[in-house]
Amino acid sequence: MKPPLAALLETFHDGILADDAAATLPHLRVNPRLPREAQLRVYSEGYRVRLIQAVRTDYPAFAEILGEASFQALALDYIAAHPPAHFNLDRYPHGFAAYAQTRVPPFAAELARLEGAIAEAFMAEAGAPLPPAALAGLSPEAFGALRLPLRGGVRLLAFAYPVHAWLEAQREGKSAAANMEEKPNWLCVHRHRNEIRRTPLAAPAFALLMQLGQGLSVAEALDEVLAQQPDAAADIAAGLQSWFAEWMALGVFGE
Amino acid sequence: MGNRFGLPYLGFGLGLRAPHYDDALRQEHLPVDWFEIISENFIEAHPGYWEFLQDVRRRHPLVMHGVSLSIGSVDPLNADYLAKLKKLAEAIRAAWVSDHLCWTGVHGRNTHDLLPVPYSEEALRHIAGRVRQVQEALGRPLVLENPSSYVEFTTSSMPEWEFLGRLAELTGCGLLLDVNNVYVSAFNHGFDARRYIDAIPADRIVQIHLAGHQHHGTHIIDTHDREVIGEVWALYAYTLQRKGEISTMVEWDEHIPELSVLLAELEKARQAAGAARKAAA
Repeated sequence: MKPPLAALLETFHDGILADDAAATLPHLRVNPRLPREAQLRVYSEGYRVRLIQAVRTDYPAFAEILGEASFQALALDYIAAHPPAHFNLDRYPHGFAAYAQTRVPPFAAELARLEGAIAEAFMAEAGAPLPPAALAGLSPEAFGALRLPLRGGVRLLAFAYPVHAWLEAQREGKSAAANMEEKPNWLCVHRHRNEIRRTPLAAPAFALLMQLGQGLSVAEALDEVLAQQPDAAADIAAGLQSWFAEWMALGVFGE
Repeated sequence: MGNRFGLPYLGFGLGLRAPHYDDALRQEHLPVDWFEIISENFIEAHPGYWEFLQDVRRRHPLVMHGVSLSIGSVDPLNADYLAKLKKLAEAIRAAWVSDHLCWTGVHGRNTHDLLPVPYSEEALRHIAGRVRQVQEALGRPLVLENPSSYVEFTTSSMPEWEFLGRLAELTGCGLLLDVNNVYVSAFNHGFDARRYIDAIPADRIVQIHLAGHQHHGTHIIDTHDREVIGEVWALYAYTLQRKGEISTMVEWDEHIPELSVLLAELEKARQAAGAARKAAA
C-alpha cells in the first residue's frame, strides 16, 4: 500500500490530467463559497491553458492558418496524448509538429514542420562553428577528403509548398496575398551568432548538405548527389564555390 | 532586522521579462535595484542569453526564481535540473535561488503548475528531507515561497504558516514571502492574512513578492497580470512594520505593460517601505 502522501498526489495529479474530479473530491475540504469541483477546475483548466499557450508561442503562423478553434482542438489532443515530462516548458511544443503531420492539410503540416524546426534550432546546443581557416589553402584533393559535420541544431527541410515564403509574408502581415500553390523548395534552418537563420537552398545544394550531414567526405557527397541528380552537374559546378562560402559565413558546419 | 543567512538587502526589484530585456541592458539609470529571473527561462537557453544576463549583472544584482524544482513531489529530485540550476547560479553570481513550496507532477510528468501540498506531518518530513538534498546540491540555502492555492486537503493537520515555519526550522532554508499569495489564499481558504504574516519568522524572510490577481467573487486567482491592489499594499506595509526592511520585487508575467507601469508599481513599494520605516522610527 502506498504512503498516504504519494497516493494523494497521484490521485490529484491524475485528476488534473484526466480532467476528472471524482477521485480527488473526497480529499478536498469543503469551501462554502466554491464547490470542490470548481476548486479543482482552477488547476485542470490552468494546466491546459498554459500548455496551449506554450504550443501557440512556437507555432503562431500554424495557429493562424488553422484557425483558433481547430488549433485549440488539435493542441488539446496533443496535450492528452503527450502530457509534458520535462522541466523546461519551452521544450514541450517540440513534438507538436510531428503530431500535427497526419492531422492537418498538407500546407499546414509543412508550416508546422518549419515553425517546429525554428523553435528547436533556437534551443539546440549549436557548438562552435568551423573557423574559416579550416578550409583556407587546401588543395582540391584535401578539400575533397574533408568531412564537414553539420553544426548542432542545423535542420535541413524539403517542402512541397512555399511555406518559408508564406511565413516571411505572414511576419510582414501579408500572408493573405502569399502564394500557397505547390512548389518544391529546400531550406536550411539553424542558429548562428544567437540568431535564427533560414537559408533557401537549391535542390543539389540541399542534397549535398544532407550527404555531408551523414558523414560523407566532400568528394563522396558530390559523387552521391551527382548520382541522384545527374542533370544538376552544371548547377553544381557553377554554384559549389559560392555555396561553401555562404555556408562557412553562416556557420553551418561545426568543429 | 536582517535575515539570518547574511543575504544582502537588495532594495526594490522587478522580474526580468523579454519585453524589457533591452531596457535592462541599455538604460544606464534605470530605477530598479535588482532583477529576478525565472530560472527555467535561462538554464537551457543558448549562450547568448547567458551573456545577456552577465551584461545585466554588471549593473544589477540578479536573483533566481524557479518553478520546476517540485520540492513537494514524491518523484525523485531531478539531478540534471539541479546541476543546471547550480551552474547558472554560479555563472551569474545569483544573490539567492528560490522556488515554491509546491509540486509540479508525479510519474515523471510535469504539469508546469504550482500544485498544492497537504500540510501534514508526513509531508513535512518528506519535504524537509528533499530541501536538505537540494541545499547540498546547490551548496547554498534554498529559499522557498508560499504558493497561492485553490484547494485545501482533508489530510492537512496544520496551517500553511506553521508548516513553512517548521520546514524552515528543520532545514535551515530561507523564505520568500509572497504577500499577494498570502492575501489570495487567505481569501480562498478564509484565514486571517495578518495572523499568517505574524507567524512567519522574520529572520527567515529573504525576499518579498508583490503581484496583481483576478478576483472572481467566489475565489481569487493569482495571475500576475495587473497592478497590486490596495489591500495587498496595506498587507505589505503591515509586513514591513512587523518584519523590517526586506528585498521586495513586483511580479508581472501576463499582458506585460510598458516599463513605466512597472516602475510606478515599484515606486509604490518604495513609498510603502518609507512609510513603514517612519512609523517604526
